[in-house]
Amino acid sequence: MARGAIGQANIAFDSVQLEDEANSVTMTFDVPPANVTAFADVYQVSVAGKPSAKLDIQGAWDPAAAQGDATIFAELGGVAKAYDFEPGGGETTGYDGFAIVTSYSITATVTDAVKWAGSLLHNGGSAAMDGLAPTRA
Amino acid sequence: MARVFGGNAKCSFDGSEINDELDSLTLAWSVPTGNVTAFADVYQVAVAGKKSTTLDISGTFDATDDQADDRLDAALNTNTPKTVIVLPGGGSVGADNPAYTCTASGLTGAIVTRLTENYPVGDAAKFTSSMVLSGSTTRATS
Repeated sequence: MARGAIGQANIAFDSVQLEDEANSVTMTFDVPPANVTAFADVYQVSVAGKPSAKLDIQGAWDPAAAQGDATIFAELGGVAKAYDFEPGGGETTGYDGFAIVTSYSITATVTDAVKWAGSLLHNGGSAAMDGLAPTRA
Repeated sequence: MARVFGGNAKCSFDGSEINDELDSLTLAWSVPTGNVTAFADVYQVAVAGKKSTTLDISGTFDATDDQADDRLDAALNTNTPKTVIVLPGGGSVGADNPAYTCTASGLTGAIVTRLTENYPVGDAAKFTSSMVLSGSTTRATS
């Protein structure tokens, strides 16, 4: 039985590899339930709605050109760009698709490295706004 | 790959360098989303709305004129947007060391939304402040 390796995830957004600055990635899939409970039911009954997916990424801030800061800042409020998340590192099963940036922050403290955190919201599978699921490959 | 120590960050507010009192700052952007999911979609689809920026700072209280307390208090009382410049990496702006600037002009600029001062009996006096950066914040590398 395979299990995910520690500390080897790969994450790319808008064709920029972020794993050389990211130290945590969480991909969350949410399914909104609709309550369809009827008078005759003993227990509540729900049906599943349309799923959504998001990526929360954080790491050490890298201000160099063509790295995370420049890339994510440029996409704030923009159209969706491609992402590729491989939890176990390269050439392993992962998820890819298109996402918009929904938040980004930079924190500098006097006793630590400058840190950043950002959130991406899945927006399409094979193309922006195509309404498809993330591709699991 | 570059990684940056946070202890040299720079921040100026209303023309005054206040990094000599700050010990933490967070510059944050938020993008509201509009749900445009249609019946035919398998997954939910969202489009990005207009982004917004906030700046939260904290540090050691300095009562000297033209320092943070003086400037922030004045801004609170005038409701006038002020220019704010942040260099998370400190030093001088450059290709690999961006500066984020919100320049006061009309409705654009930093609006101080909160100023908190704390004077504990057993510690230094501290302050925190929150700002909404109205209008655009730019990222410059030169």
